[in-house]
Amino acid sequence: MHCAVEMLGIVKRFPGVVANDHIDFRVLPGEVHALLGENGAGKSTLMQILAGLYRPDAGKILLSGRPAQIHTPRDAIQAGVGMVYQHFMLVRRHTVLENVILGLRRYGLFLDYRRAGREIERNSREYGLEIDPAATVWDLSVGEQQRVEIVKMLLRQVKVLILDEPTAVLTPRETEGLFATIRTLAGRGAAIVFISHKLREVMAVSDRITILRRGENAGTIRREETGERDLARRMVGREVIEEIEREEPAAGEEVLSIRDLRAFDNRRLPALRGLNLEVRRGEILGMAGISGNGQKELEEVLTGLREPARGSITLGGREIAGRRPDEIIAGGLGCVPEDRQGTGTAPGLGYRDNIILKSCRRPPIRRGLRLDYRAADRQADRLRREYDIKVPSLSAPVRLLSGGNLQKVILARELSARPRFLLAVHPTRGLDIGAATYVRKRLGELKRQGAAILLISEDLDELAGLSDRIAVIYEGKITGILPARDADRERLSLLMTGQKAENGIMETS
Amino acid sequence: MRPLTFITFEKRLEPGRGARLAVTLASLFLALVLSGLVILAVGVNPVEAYTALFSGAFGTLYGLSETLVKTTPLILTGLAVALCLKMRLWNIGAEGQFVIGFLASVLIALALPGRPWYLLLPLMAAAALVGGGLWAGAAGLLKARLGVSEIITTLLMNWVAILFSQYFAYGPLKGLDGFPYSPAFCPGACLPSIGWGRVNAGLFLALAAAVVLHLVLKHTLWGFEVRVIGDSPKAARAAGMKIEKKIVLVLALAGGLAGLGGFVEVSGIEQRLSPHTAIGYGYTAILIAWLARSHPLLVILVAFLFGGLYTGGEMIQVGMGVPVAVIRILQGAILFFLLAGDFLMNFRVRFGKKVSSER
Ligand SMILES: Nc1ncnc2c1ncn2[C@@H]1O[C@H](COP(=O)(O)OP(=O)(O)OP(=O)(O)O)[C@@H](O)[C@H]1O
Ligand SMILES: [Mg+2]
Repeated sequence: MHCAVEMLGIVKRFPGVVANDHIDFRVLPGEVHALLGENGAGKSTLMQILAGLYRPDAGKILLSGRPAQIHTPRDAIQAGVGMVYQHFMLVRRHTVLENVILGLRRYGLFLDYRRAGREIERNSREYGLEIDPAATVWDLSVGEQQRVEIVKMLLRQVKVLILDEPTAVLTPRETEGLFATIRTLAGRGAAIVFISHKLREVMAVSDRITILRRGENAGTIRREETGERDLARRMVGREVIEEIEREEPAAGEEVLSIRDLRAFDNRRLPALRGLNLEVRRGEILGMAGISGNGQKELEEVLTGLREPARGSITLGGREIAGRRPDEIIAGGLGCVPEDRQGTGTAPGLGYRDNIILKSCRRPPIRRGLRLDYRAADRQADRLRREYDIKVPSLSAPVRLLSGGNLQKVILARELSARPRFLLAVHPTRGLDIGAATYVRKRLGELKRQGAAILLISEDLDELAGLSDRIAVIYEGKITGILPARDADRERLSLLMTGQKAENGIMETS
Repeated sequence: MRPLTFITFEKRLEPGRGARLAVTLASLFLALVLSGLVILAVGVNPVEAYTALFSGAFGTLYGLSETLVKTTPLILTGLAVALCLKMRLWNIGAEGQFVIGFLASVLIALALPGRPWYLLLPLMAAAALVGGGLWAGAAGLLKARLGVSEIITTLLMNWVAILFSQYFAYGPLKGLDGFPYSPAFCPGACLPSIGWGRVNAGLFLALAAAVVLHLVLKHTLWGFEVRVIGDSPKAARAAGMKIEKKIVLVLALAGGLAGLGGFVEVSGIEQRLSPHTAIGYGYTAILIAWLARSHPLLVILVAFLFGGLYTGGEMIQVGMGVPVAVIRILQGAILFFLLAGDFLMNFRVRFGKKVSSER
C-alpha cells in the first residue's frame, strides 16, 4: 500500500533559522498521525509546506505514491490536502455558508445556495459537526469556527486533513466531539495529521506519532509503544518532571473586587449580568466556564476596552470601572489576553518593540521624551533568555514567530511587569510542556510575591493544578466558588452548564 | 466548466528579499516607457526628451537651483503625507493645507507691512503652521470622534481651501489695478536668498523639518506610539495608548508641515497671493511619501527627484515643445505601476492556468 503522504528530505530555511532540516515524514491512509515537538520545532512549517503555503528549499512530496507539485493552497486542495490553521482564516463578516463555498466552483456561477446549504448540513450531521449555515462567523465561538473550517475541508473532499493545534481552543466536550469526527474520517480512509502539545490527547487519538526536534525528525513511533512520559522525554531530549506543588495562599486582603457588574456584548445583548467576584492578594482564582459565557466581555471590561453598563470594579481600592486602559494599567493591571495576535501583540512590529509595548511609558525605557532603545534591547534580550523565546532577531516582526513563541512574548512582557493584579486568559495555550511548566512556575512565584491572579481557562486540569479557589461562570454570572481541593470534574461540569450542585458549594451573592 | 479568468492571484506569504527595491525601480522604468510613448506621439524622440529633461534638471547650475526651489515645498508636503502614512492615515489634503499655510502667511505679511524680518518671518511661519494644522486637525477630529474617513474629508477640504484663497485673491486682497494679485511683500516678509538662483533659506527649514521628524519618530515615545498604532490599533489601545488623541495630533502636525510648505513657497518665491497657489505639490506629495516608504530622510531624496521632474518638464516644454502634461502622465504612471508592483509583490500571479474545478 502506498503512503497517503510522503515528504522526503524537506528543508525550509527562514532568515536566521532552519525550520525544517531534511525531514522525512510519512502518513498512511486511514491513520491519525500526531506531530509533536517543542515550540518552534517546525511543525506548522512542515505542514504549511504540505498545504502549499510555503515552498520547501529542498525535498519532494509524494501523494499516494505519485510525485506532487504543490505550489499554492489551491494546488494542495486539488491534490486532496486540506489544512485547518493555527490561526483561522475565515471571513468574519460572512455567513458560514458563504465561507464554506468561497472558492468552490461546483455550485455554478450563480451560487446555488440551497444545494450548498443542504450539502453542508448533510456533511455536518454525518461527521457530528454541529453548525448553522446561516450564522455569521463573528458570532461564533472559536470551537464553532473550527467546525466550519473542517466542514469546509470536507466539502472539498480532502484525503489528507491537517489540524494544527485544533484542541488548543476547545472545551473538553468540544475536544471529545472533534476526536469522534477525526475517527470517523480516518475510518473512511482519510489520513489525518494532528498537531498538539497535550500528550493525553495525542495518546488518546493517534495511531502513530512523529516527533520533531529543532527542525529534525526525531523518530516516528506507534502509539502502543509509548506513553506520555516517554513522549515528553523524546521531545525535549531529557527527562521532564512536572513538579508543581500548590502553596497555600497567604490569604491577604482583597486586591480586585467586582460588584454587580453588567455589560453588553457586540450584539448589544447582556453578556455580564450582575457578576460578583473578589481576588485576594497572594491567591490564584481560577475561573472555569464554557467559552461564550461572558469571559471575553469580562476581560474587556477589566482592561478598559469595554464600557460596563453598571457595577463597580475596584483595583487596590480604586474604582476602575469605565476607566481608560492606561489608567488601569497604571493601577497595576497585567493581562495575558485571549486574542494574542490582535490585542496582545502588534504583529508587524519586532520582538523588542512588543516587549516594551507597555513599559515604554515608564523609566527606565522612557527618559523624558526619549525612549532608551538600548535599555529596551537589554531587557528584551534578558527576557528572551529567561523565557527561552526563539526569535531570529530582536527586530524581526513577531507575526513570523511560531504560535508558542508568540504567546511567550506576551507572557514575558506581562509577568515581568510585576502586576498587582494579573488577568491571565489561557496562559499556557499553545505552549509545549516545558514552557507550560515554566509559566506555571512563574505564576506561582508571582502569587508568592503577593499578586492577585485571575486565571481564566477551559482546561480543568490546569485550573485544578494552579488555582486556590475556582469560580464558575455561567451566562454572565458566577454560579459558584469552591476551594480547588473540592473541585472535581463532575461538580465543575454541572456548574458550567448552569445546574446547581447540591452541596458543598458556597454561593456568592 | 470553463474558467472565467485566465489569470489568478494567490496570496504570497513571503515577499522575496530585495523585492521592494526591484519593484520600485521596475515601476519607475515602466512609467518612463509609457510616458515615452506619449512623447513619441507628439513627435519627439523620447530618449532625447529624457536626456534633455535630466540635464535640464540636474545638469546645469541654473537647473539645479530651480530643482532645489521645487524640492523645498515638496519635502514639506511629502513629510505631511509620510507622517500620516506611518499611522496608516491617508492625508490626501496636503494640497489644501499647503494653500492655507500660504494664505495665512500672506495675511500676516500684508497686515504688518514694513516690519523687520525677525518679527515677520516667525509670525508668518507660525500662522502657516497653525493654519495648516487646524485645517487638517479638523479632519482628524472628525475621524477620531465620528469615524469619518480622513481620505474623504482631507480631499474635499482641498477644494474649500483653494476656493477660500481664490476668494481673497479676487476679493479683499485684489490689487489696485483690479487684477487678482495681492500687493507684493515688503522685504521683511521674504525669506532671504542664499545667493544661488532663487534658492532661499526655506530649503534649510525643509531639511531641518525632515531631520527633526526623523529623530522624533525614531527616538521618542511619541514616535514609538505612532508606529504601534500604525501597525495594530487594537494592541495599541490595549497597551494604554490614546489613539483618538494621536489621530488628531498627527493630522494636525502633518497639516502644519504642509502649511509650512505654503509659507516657504510664498515667502521665498511668490511673495504675494495669486489665484494659482495650488499647483499640485500636495498631490505629488502622496507619490513622494509612498516612494519614500514614508521614511522622512528618504522623502528628501525623492522630493529632490520630483523637483527635478518639475524643472526638467518645464525645460523640455520650452525647448522641445513637449507639453508639460507629459510630466503629469509620468507621475501618474509611476504611481500606477508602483501600486501594481506592491500588489504583485504580495500575490503570486499565474497566467493561463485553469482555475481549479473541483472533482
Ligand atoms: N514566515 C516565517 N519567517 C521567518 N521565520 C519563520 C516563519 N515561519 C516560521 N518561522 C520560524 O520557524 C521556526 C519554526 O516555526 P513553526 O511555526 O513551524 O513552529 P511550531 O513547531 O509550529 O511551533 P509552535 O508549537 O510554537 O506552534 C520558528 O523558529 C519560527 O520563528
Ligand atoms: Mg505552530
